Order: sequence, then structure tokens, then C-alpha cells
Amino acid sequence: MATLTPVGVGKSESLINLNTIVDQNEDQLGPLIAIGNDGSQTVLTFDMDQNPPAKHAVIVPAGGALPPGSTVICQGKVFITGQLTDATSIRPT
Amino acid sequence: MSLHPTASGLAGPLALAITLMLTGCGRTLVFAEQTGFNLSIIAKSSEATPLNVNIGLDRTVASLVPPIHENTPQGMVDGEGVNMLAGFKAAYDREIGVNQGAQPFSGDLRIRTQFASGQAAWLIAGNPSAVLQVVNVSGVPLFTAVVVDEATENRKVAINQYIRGLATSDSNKATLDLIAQQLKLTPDPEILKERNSIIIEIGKLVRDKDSMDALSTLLKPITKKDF
Repeated sequence: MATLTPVGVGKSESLINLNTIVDQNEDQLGPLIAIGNDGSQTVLTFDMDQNPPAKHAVIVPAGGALPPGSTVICQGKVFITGQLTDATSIRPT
Repeated sequence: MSLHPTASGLAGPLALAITLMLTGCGRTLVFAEQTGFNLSIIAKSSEATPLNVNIGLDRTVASLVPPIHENTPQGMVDGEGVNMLAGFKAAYDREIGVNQGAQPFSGDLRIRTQFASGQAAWLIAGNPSAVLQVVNVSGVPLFTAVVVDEATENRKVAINQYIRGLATSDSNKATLDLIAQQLKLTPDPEILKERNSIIIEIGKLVRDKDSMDALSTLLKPITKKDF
């Protein structure tokens, strides 16, 4: 089962900051399981029923080649420096 | 001035009919929805009521939920339907619009809808809180996260591990209750729910070194530790 915990991220955050926020919140809340937005900010959803993961998820812009040795968690539209961007979240295996 | 954007009332039923044709009315779950939003603003300075505003929301949801089996000798259904959960919420928020409530129509109108079907619905069916999040469309962020400096983050991880450690044994429930009360949370009979509430509250409170210092000081009478 899952306890879904949505957390907002300001729309002006850079991709680097967005991924730092993913790292820091996975340490607190558990693994990232979904990415998206509510129109005014990025929404990251974590599963609090699981322990923080050993390897952090990474959000990358959609369309590019995914790094080898990673699995796709989910896809969604997130704000990167104010621009709504198609993105994929992956986790190194 | 007169402004009349409208949505076709036929869109939802038409979408449902097309979907039914495409699926051949087979054992396929169909979920169709249509939202019509109408806004009418009429301004006439010469009249006693110079501004007339009408806002309407027309919502249609239709779902066709097939049975999992049709295996009685008579061809009748003998079991449950395919799993499906859905929720819808419309809200007008003047505080987060572009002009932050300065004008009557400057807020954001949000129409949110969520549904889960099939395996996804089955997986969350035993978790009432997850079901409520779908049905109540409650994916609203609990707080807005910011980047925390590395030293503060390390302290935040340490107190997180401390809280998670307490929640592994019912013998620590009283300590968790005290921490919850110190954070102005209502203690929960379920230890894991209480742990999660405390962790979320810490996420809301700790934004920098000063707020981490304040949290550590607040909890020290209970934890007997500096975080």
C-alpha cells in the first residue's frame, strides 16, 4: 500500500534545485512516485509508507536519451525555471 | 461589454458514444467526462445595476463498468465489477491568482478530476487514505519545499531517522505522542500515521538553520538530544 504525500515546488526553481529538492524530500518522506503540476507549481508525490531510498530519483527533461542503468518511475509536466516542461523521473538501479 | 465563452453540452455524451463504438461494447471500462464553464459579464453604466455577472458550471460524468466475469450457465454476472474510483472538485481561489485577490475575478478557478481504474484502483482499494485522496481530489500539496543548506539537511535527516526509529516499536508511542503535541498535532492512535504527521510537520517547519535550531530546542525536553 502507499501513503501518497504531495509536496509543492515553486515554479521558478531550476532543474538542479528541483533535483536537490527531490533528494532532500526522499530522505524525509520516502521514494518519489509521481511528478506533475497544479498549474501554479510543480507537485512531487512521495510514498511515506516506504523507507527513504538508497539511490535518489532524478528528474530529466523528456525526449532525451535516458542514462543507462536506470528505471523510469513516471512522466509528467513540471515547471523548470518557470516553463512547464515534459519530464521523466528515473531512478538509478 | 458581453463575454460568453461556452462549452458544448454534447461533448461528453458524444465522447461516450464514440468510445462505446470503438470498444465494441466489449468488456472494457469506459469513463467519460465533460465540463462546461459559462461566464457572462454584462456592464451597462446607464442602468441601476451596472454590472451583471453569471457563472455556471455544468458537469457530466458517465462510466460503463463491466463485470469481471460473465460465467454462469445463464450468461449472467456472478462477481464484482471492474474497479474504478473517481473524484471531482471545482474551487475558486482568490489568494493565488495573478493579482492575488486585488480584483474580484483575479483568482484562479481550478477544476480538478482524478480517477483510478483496473489494477491501480485494486491496489489502493485496501488503503482508505489513498482512496480518499483520489475521491476527494486531495492531491493538493501539503507544503512548498525549498532547498535546504547541507548542514541543516544533515540535521533534518538525523531527526527524521530518530522519529522513524521511535515508530518501530509501540513502546515508544507515548514519546511520539509528546512530540506530536509539542508540534501542535493531534496524536493518532496508529503509530505510523502519527510518525508520518510528525515528519510532514518537520518538513513544513524546517526551511533553514534558524528554523532547525528552533525545532531542536522545542523538542529537546522530550528527545534529550540536540539535533
